[in-house]
Amino acid sequence: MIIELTSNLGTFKTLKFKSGLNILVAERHETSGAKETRNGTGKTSFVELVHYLLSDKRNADDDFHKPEIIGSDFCGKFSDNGSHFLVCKKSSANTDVLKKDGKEITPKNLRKELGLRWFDLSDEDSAPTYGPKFGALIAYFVRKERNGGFASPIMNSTSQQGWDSQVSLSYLLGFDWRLPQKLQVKKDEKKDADTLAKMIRSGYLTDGALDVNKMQSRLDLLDTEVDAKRKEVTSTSVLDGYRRHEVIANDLTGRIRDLNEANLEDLDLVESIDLALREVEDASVADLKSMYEQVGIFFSDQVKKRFEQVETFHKQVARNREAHLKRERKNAAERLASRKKEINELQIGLSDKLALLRSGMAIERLTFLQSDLNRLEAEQTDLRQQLPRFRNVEEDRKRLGREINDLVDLIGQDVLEREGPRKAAVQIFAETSQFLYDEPGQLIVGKSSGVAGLSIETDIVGKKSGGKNHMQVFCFDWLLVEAAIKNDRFPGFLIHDSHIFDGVDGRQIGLALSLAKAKCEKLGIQYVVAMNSDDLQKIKSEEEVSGEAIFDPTDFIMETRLSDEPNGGLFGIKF
Amino acid sequence: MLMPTKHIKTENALIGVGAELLALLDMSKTASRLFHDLQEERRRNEITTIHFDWFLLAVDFLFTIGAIRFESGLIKKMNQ
Repeated sequence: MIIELTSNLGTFKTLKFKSGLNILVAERHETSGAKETRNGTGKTSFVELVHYLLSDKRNADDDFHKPEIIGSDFCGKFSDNGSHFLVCKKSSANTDVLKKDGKEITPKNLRKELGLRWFDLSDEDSAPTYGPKFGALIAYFVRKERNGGFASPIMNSTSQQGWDSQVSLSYLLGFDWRLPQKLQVKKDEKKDADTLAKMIRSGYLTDGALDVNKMQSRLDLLDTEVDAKRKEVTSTSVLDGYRRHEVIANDLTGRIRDLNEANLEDLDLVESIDLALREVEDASVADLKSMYEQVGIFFSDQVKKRFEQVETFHKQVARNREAHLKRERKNAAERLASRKKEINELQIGLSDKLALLRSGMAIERLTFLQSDLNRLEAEQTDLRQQLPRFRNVEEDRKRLGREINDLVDLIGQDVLEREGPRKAAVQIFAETSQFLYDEPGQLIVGKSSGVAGLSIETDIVGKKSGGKNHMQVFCFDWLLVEAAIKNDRFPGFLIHDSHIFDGVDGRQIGLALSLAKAKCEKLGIQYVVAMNSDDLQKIKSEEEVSGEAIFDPTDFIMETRLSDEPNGGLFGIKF
Repeated sequence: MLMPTKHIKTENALIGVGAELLALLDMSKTASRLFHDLQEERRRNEITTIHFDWFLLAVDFLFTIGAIRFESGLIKKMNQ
């Protein structure tokens, strides 16, 4: 329980608490206008102070860091099971200094210690993601109006996550908190898988649903295509083809050169034959006659032939020679012609090859093949990497979907099987609400219709007003207190600020206080409630009207009273 | 023409060429072959080559003195 709240701030109004019911009254001054709020009276500051002492976050904008307040020590004296401890925090411009029993301690360690002390919350339990946390648990017993703590029974603030509420309440009510915790982990995984699937889908198959088979068949096709292309490229056929063209072209050039050389020789030959033919013609009979005469002079005894015979011989040899030369000439001409024809043919072949080589067709083809192969290989690699992920993602999504449904079912099963806690919860809520409204309210615990997990719904009779909502919170909190005590997970105190009675009829306020008093006595706990003086007045008025005693708060009103006068607030300073 | 003179060297006189031709006629040859062999021989001996008409006159000379005969397109030495 809380024993006292103090501060070294001179104007601070020390709050001393007793066990059982404590009513912190904020007087509404006679002169205050109806519309004037009483935020300045510090009822909220009192709840904020408890949070401030236990918080692990420093909010530089809160009241404790206002210029008038900053640098002050605020202390809370707590006790449980007979042992006392003092938690003090000094606000400062940079880092607040937290001390427990005079020794400096980090907020994290203090919460760890208190988590174990107040909520039996071990490190192992609070360590996992989405496990029960000290901050969430304490926020149920010290609800903050500013965070929307009175908007819903099952939520300690409007910004609380569904899983956090489920895990915390399961923990306090004695259900298996690990199921909603696991559920949230699975939901996260599913969300990741969904996102991934969406990413892949948008990146891959824009048309239509996820079709793994379609991707697989594309990959199969690519495998074959890439293999064929790779073979074509890596096999030397293309390169060899190019080289073969080159060799052939060189060969052709060589042969043409040889042929041209041979032709030049033959042309020379023809020229010389023509010359020789002219020489044959030149061998005229006139010279023959003078030769014959000279033989007659020099070798008169030796002349064996008549001139006519010599002339015939001469003509025969000349003709013979001429025929030979002409034959030679004809052969040469034929060789020239045949070579020219061959050269022409070779030239055509060569120019084809040269055109092919010059155009770089072979290289171009190779380049084309290579780039084609590269493109296909890239797609293949991409698909090969994506497909297993894709397939996994699809399977993961299905599996997670099943697991989520299973967990939700398990949560429902867990609640059903834990008859004790469930029935107690339903009963306590019914009794509490019946005490206030004569009719029992309903607490429905079970699995959600969707995948939310644990569903806790409350309903009580009464007007559809803020008052009814607040009374549901009131009933639910007392249920939490009783359940938490049973599970040894209760800090020993419940704190409500005045908002709990906003819009509530005087009769119900009185009955609520009366119930709280009885519960405190029965359970041996401390309940601190801040109230506006006119809410107390409402009870009196109700009693006067009905003539029946509802509740006399006098003995429970705390010594320290707050008011809306300039220095009447908790801090004694108006800011 | 037939005999060497002040202006005609022995190797160019018909009698000189005729002697050369007789040496080349170790076997019967066509006129063209004999002419070809003669030119080769003269080139080899670094003697100026001669025109065909002069060669033919030398062959005529040899025929006139009965040193060679002409048989079915071939020139033969008489004693062969």
